[in-house]
Amino acid sequence: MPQREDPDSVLVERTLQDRDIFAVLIERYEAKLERYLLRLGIMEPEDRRDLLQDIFIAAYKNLNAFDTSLSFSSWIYRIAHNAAMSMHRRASAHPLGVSVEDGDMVIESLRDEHMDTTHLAERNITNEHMSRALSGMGEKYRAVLILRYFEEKEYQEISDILQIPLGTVSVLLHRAKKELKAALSYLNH
Amino acid sequence: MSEKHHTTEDHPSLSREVFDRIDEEKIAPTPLYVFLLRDSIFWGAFGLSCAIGMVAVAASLFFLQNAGFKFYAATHDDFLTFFIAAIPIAWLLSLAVFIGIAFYNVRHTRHGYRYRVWAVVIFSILVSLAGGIILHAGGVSRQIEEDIGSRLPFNRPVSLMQKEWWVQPGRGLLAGEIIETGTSTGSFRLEAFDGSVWDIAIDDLRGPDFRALEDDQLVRVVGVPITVNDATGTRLFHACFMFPWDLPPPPAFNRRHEKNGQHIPEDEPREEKSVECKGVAPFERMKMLQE
Repeated sequence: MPQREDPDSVLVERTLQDRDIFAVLIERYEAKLERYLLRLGIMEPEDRRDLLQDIFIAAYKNLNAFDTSLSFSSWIYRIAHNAAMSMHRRASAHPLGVSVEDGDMVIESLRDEHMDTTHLAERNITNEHMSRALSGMGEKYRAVLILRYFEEKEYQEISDILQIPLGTVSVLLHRAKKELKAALSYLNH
Repeated sequence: MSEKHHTTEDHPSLSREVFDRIDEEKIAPTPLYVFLLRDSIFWGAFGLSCAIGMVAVAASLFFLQNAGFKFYAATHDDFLTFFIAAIPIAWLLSLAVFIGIAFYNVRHTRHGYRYRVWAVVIFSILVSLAGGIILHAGGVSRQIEEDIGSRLPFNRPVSLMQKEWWVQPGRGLLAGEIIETGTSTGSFRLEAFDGSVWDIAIDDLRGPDFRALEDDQLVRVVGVPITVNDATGTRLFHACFMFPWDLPPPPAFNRRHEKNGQHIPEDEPREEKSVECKGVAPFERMKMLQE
């Protein structure tokens, strides 16, 4: 019987022997991935549901490709990210929305990293502002910001999820923060 | 699938939906060997691209070494024109393309995304350079350039290009094989690379010119075309300088010479060339090549 506290990698190995154990992994990541999909702008609950199914089916099919040198979390987030991006591209005629529940975290992070955010803090940055600012950003910038400040992923995890070199993550993040700051300033004027 | 996991009580509804789809579509995990094979194919393609890069480097080195830089003043109007013609563009383009392919393949391996673009590109270039230099030093580059180069689109093998540059009698350039020496006119007969036959007047040739004949019957001649005998079809060419065809010049070119045990004086007094040769451009440059 699978133990609820078994590490993901053990569950992956055991799923290859007994597929029912996959249910534990689904249960473990369902809520996290749904929230991530929402942040990536998959606004319709039905779409998220369909996408979650596709993500777990893809993960199940590719269990043997799971790279034990990275975490299962990074691997399943990668599948989720790619699936969401594919869905956005298929529906490219529709403007991309980004759902943000707690934009304060980002402002806090910008402040922690010694960026001049005084003028932002003085103004009332709403989640609506944050969503609009993120929606207007390039796909890669938006993705690193969401992963870093909303999903609270480490640089290495972001590198594994987005499949980009570690150095590129830090460059993208730096540029993304500058762009976000500029966008928020503009929206608050 | 066991019954316990089919029950909605045990599974959250998403896992139930996922398992239902797995059953309906008869989905099973793709075997491990498929992924290993896929990764091996990408690494193999990377290796192959680097190997082709090595071939391109080896051919480029042979091309550059045999483009005839030292004769540029005879074959071209200026160095820039020659340089543009002497760059092995098709080979260098091939190198660039295959380095791009190498990069693409590495990026599609399991951990390929972790490498920076420049790191993969520099590594591929270094591997291609190292392998290319080894192939060139091993003497394979000529065969590569001639055999593969003749099939490479937009590429003319350097040997063919040289032959075209050196069979321009109107420009004072002739190259080919000496097919007869000691003709009645005191000249020798040369069959140019385009098949035309020439009697070469040798009055203006000196010791260094004749040394070109020591090791090879293939020569380059710089001079002036004189006449064409319509009756016999023979053409006369006044030679001012003669050089061996093969590049770089054989070592015999610059050392004291012996042939069949007979000493050939190296530094015999140099006689001035005739007025006819003074018109050969660029006269001084050609003279320097023999000094």
